[in-house]
Amino acid sequence: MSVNEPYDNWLRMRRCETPRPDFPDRILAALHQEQALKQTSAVKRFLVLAWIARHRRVFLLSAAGAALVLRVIGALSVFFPY
Amino acid sequence: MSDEDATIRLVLEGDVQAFRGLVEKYQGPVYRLARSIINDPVDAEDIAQDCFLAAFRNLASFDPAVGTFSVWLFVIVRNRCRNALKRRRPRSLDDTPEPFRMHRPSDALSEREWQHRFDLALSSLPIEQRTAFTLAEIEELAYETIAKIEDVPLGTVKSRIRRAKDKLRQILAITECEQ
Repeated sequence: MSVNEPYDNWLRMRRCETPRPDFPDRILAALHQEQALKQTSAVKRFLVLAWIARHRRVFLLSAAGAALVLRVIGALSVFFPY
Repeated sequence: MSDEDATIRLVLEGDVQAFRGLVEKYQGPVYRLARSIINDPVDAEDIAQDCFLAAFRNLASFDPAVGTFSVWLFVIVRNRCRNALKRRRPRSLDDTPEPFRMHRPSDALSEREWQHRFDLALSSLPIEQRTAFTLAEIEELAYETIAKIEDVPLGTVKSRIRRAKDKLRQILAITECEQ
């Protein structure tokens, strides 16, 4: 028996190794799921923007109100440093 | 434009199904590299899957002018495997490979044991030597390609492979002496 024979057999075996046969299907399934999630997020973003566009007065008033509240809290925090 | 470039372009244009072609072509090499570095078939398959998902997400950053797709993919595999090894708990002394014995090839069980011990010996090498050895011996890549994947000079690749072979030969020599 040659010294290299076990090594050659090991090499032959390693070179033939592959993942399970359903490997590409699993990758594709994961990618499709990821794409579907991305599309759902895009739809949600679109709906929010559409709502803002339709009710921009409400949105702007709410944003201005929130900014005012934050300024008041900021001003008051001078008296309550900790 | 090669078939591979055309496939990559299709994927970038949103054809998810076209990515199957790339997975089918590279699943073997990607899995085998991960298997050699990680030395665990189940973890290797998880990492291989993770690598293909990362490749899909970052395909836009692949620049054919810098290197081939396979080099780019192997870099992802190498990095993922190294991160996985860092997260693993340190090896206990029981995991240290013992010197392996040569057996007659007719003895199928012993042959399997030899292969198992060789795997353990390979996994005991530093990760850089293991990666270079696997890419050269199992994937039969040119040393220049390995240098690109590892991002080191050609001489470094040569010395890593030489050291890996020397260490594995040392284990074989110990075995020979014991017989």
